[in-house]
Amino acid sequence: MTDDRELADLLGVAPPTPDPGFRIDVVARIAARARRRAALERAWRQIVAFTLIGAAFPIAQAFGITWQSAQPLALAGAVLACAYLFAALTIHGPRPLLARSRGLLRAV
Amino acid sequence: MEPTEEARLVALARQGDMHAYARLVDAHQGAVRAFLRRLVGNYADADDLAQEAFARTWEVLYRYDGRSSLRTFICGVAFQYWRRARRAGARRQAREDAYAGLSDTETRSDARMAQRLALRRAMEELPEDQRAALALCLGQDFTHQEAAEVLNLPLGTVKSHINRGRARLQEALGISEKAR
Repeated sequence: MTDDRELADLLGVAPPTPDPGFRIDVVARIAARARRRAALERAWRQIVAFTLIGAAFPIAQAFGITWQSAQPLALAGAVLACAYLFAALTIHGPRPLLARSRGLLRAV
Repeated sequence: MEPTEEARLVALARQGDMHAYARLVDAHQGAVRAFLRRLVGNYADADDLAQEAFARTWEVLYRYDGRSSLRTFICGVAFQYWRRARRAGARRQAREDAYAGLSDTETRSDARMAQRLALRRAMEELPEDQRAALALCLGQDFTHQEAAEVLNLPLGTVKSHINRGRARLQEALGISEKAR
């Protein structure tokens, strides 16, 4: 009773063989954590984007910028935003035409 | 597991290979779960913490520099999780109910169960670091040096924790130093 092994066994023992169920639970937890992290990042991105869009108008108004004077800049911004959306859809979208090229670039 | 094979699997896991990491989980789950079971007392809570520790290790594997063994690294993560959970008090109720932790030993003799309860109570009274040092080293699963790395303590402190903790546990079982 006095040796360390006995004390250790009384306190708790390891499973005799590696438990496949434990491994599966670990993998499931890793996947769940990754999903949670991705959702959190997505939520933050959306919050930041909508806050910036919402803040742009009152800030412009505060600086005395009218729609007439800002029209060329707004048009350029809209064109850039459309180009960005098109590029994002082409790379990450449901039919990513450039995904293969991106994979090749990453492999280099 | 051979150190070279372990290093190969760690390198693969860092690149996102889940099969390689699953093999590492299989190789180290015994030591990590035994450590946490001795530390926590309740097997279900211990295994829950072990799974969280392995899942977190997957995320921070890039921090593992290979100077210590991987199981030492994982136990360090597990120890931090245990400390956080303990301080948050989320599992306090479950831990305090000693009989719940003994549910898997119902078929054992009353004398052995009484010994386990006495030991569990003695463990609960020990300081966190001392308790963790005992959980690591009592079953000879970890060397004193490895325990010092897991707990981030000097080697001499770990040795002293183990000697004092062992004496407290033996006292709880009614065994004096002289009797040994």
